[in-house]
Amino acid sequence: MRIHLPWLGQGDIFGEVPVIGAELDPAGNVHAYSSPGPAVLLTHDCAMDKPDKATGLPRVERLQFARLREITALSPDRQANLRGAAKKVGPFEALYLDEIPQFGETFMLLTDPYYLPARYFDLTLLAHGDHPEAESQSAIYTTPRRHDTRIGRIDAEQLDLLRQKMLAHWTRFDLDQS
Amino acid sequence: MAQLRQVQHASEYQAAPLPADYAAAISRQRLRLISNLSGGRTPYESLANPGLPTSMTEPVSFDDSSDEHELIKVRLKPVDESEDDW
Repeated sequence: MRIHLPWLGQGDIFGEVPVIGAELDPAGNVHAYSSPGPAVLLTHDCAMDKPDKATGLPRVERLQFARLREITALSPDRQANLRGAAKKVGPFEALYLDEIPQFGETFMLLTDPYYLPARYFDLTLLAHGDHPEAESQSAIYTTPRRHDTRIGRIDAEQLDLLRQKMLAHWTRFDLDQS
Repeated sequence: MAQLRQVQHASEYQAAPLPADYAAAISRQRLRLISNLSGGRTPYESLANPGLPTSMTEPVSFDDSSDEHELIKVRLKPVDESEDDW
């Protein structure tokens, strides 16, 4: 895990955000729930950094997340399979995230994404041109002013793998690097 | 073409259960924008049908058409489905 940047980026790890999901009750009815928990930001940087022409604020309306899951929730076989495929595109739906402080050994699934209204984070665009990771001196990036509970961001190699898994999971295509 | 057919099917599947007044909930300007762009690649998050609009997120927002990206060419290959077992 790396230290997160001042601005939002795909792969940022939030220590506590509303985690939204659906579950079945004993009668087979679906219930939506929201509970605080850790999650990884899925929205791409480029989708977050566009300004609204009228207000100058970020125009992104929804941010997508996938919850952070403890690997111990999996069967021993699946745990072993996931650790063994930590640097592989397959399985497409699962990304092994290794040890995350506070949460232990974790992974995330592309099969349970959800969104939060971007306004929850009171986003603004700020100049970060003096930051060593800024793309240029004039760079402005979407930055949260509220509910910023980030504890870090996934490693660069994991982020590359996440993007490859997104491509494979939703389109069933992979990069041809031959 | 197989992939394209799959996407079209998915969009129809998403559109079917939407309430009849769903389209009315979206501004006319946006509907027009979706309709105009339905033959192109942008906006990235939305997909238009002849009838109701659908969206990868919910419900809609757009205009990625002003993006100026460097042209990056990549080669894609179908995934090996056996790699998805775990």
